[in-house]
Amino acid sequence: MKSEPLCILLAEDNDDHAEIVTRSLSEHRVANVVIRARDGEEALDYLFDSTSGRMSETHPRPNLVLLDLRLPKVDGLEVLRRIKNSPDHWDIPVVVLTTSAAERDLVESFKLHANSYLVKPVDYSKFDEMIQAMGFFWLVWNYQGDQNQVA
Amino acid sequence: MEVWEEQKAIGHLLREANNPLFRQVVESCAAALLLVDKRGCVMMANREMRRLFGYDADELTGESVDRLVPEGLRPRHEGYVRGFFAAPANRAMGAGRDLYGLRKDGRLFPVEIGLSVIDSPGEKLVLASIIDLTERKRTRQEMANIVERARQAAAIAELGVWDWDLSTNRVRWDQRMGELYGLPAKEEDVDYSVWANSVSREELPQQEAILKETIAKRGRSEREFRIRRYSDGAERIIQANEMVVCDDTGKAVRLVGVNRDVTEQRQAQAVKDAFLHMLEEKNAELERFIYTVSHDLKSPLITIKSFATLASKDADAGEFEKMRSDLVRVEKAAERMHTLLDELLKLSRLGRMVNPPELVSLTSISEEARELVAGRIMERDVTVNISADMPLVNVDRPRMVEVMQNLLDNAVKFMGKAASPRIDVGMVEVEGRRRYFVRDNGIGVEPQYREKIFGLFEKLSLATEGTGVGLALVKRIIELHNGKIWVESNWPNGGTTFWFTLGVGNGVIGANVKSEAFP
Repeated sequence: MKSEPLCILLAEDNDDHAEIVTRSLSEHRVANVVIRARDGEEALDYLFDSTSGRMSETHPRPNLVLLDLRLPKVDGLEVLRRIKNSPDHWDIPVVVLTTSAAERDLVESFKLHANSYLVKPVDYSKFDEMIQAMGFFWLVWNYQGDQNQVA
Repeated sequence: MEVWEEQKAIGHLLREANNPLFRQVVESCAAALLLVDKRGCVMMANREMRRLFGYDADELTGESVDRLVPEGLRPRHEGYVRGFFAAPANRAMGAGRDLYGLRKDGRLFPVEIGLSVIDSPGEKLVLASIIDLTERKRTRQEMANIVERARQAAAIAELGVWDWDLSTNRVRWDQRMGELYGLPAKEEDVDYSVWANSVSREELPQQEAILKETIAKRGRSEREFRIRRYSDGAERIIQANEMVVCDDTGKAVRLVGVNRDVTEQRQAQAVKDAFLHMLEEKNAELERFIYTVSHDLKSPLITIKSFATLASKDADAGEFEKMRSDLVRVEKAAERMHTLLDELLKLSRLGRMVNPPELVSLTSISEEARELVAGRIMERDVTVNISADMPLVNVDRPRMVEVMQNLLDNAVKFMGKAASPRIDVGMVEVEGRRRYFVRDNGIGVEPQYREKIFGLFEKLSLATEGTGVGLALVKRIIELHNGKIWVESNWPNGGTTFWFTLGVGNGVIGANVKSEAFP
């Protein structure tokens, strides 16, 4: 585990699903901070400074974005596109976490350079297991380097 | 005719009929020659003559010329011979009649016969040169058959055939061309302008450009254009194919082509295309529908299952407070699922269940809808002003009430903190078309969401109640009435107007509901 606090941005409109993810994450002590965005706009507001369009100075940069696709206001795919096109955020791993197993969503997500695509399992123990594995993979095993230097 | 010239020369020589050299010349001549005296006796028949009629050498000499004439004609033939010697002159025999020769084997064959008078010493003779027409007749018949077949093929294919002489600008066209362009149905020569004047004004330049290029390239082309038929002014669609004909020097001299009226085919195609387009749209809509439904129904299912598991975990850990809140989530998710299923049912019924159109005023529809949302209206103290003199429309009344109910409900829902909340319902006429509106002074809609709000399960804010079906439903109903709906909003100052139209015929009374709009 790295010494600096690990931060996840969770873009999820469904309160219950957000709660499932948060509980699972905290139970397995994967992340120190989970920031919740309730729609696409909130996610973008968190990541970008609304006037400069560059990286937000006030919010800590997330180590991982967990992104639902069907989000109110700004669609999840649009959020993904903005992140991957941003000179400041393109290298943040974005994991799509959705109920949709539609081919179209999968293809579009990977076209926009999503780092992985997870379909929410209906069964809780699987959901929990998946979140744990995903968290460890991206935040513990996956080498991220000093992102600010990389960017 | 060459034969004639030759024959005259030979006739000249025959005055020396007994000259062996001349006899030899005649004998070897390529034309069939026969020398007859005035009694009708054959004095000489050359080799070609004998070959033609199937006789051996000298078999004919001294015989009556009648042997070469079909039996039925012999009595008359004698008269002809006499007549000829009475007024001898060089001429073709049997002008205007088909002549036949009789072979030795009894077969008849078509011939052409030229006669010339020979003044031989002592008496006048007649020299006949005979041409076998069998081959020529056969070719002619074949040509006639080909022409006839082409004519029949054109008739069967309903093709008009034309032939444009590029030097005179005259077009020879057939009966069918006349019919196609609404002119007398007969084969005639018309000026090029007769065609050009009937072609639709917008299309003529392009059509003439194609023809010009075809001629320049000495090629062929296929076109399609609209004409106005001369007889009744009806617009028809013509398909044309043509090809350049060049003279021996390679110069384009004619353009030959066919025309076909494809109006009905094109119309049928258009109907088919429109239908196909509609099917594609429906299919896409269905796909979207299934997509949203599966997503939106799966969401509460995940919640229910997960929190049921979490609840039992919390129970094991003795955390009953937590367990209770888990169960509340389960209950709410189940409830949400129930509402979703209800709304879906409502939406799916739309396609199938139809109420017969009723003539009803939009004022009374709006008033009925206002009653249905009276509770909310009172709760938020909204003034609803419905224009009293909106026209009668012919619509599915319960569905239109649903439209107004949803629009009013929506307006109330997004009223925000307006000081004196107000909704106006009315109608204006724009360019002769009636537009109905539901206007509020609520929070307004941001420009980027003005399309999205009509989508299924689209909610712009989590805080608002409802499932996101309402406006999708409204849109479907308006579309089923062949109308359109859109939204205008004064963002960010607030105030939203939903506009909609009904029917195709300017929203006129009567024909708003097309029966085929309902599957």
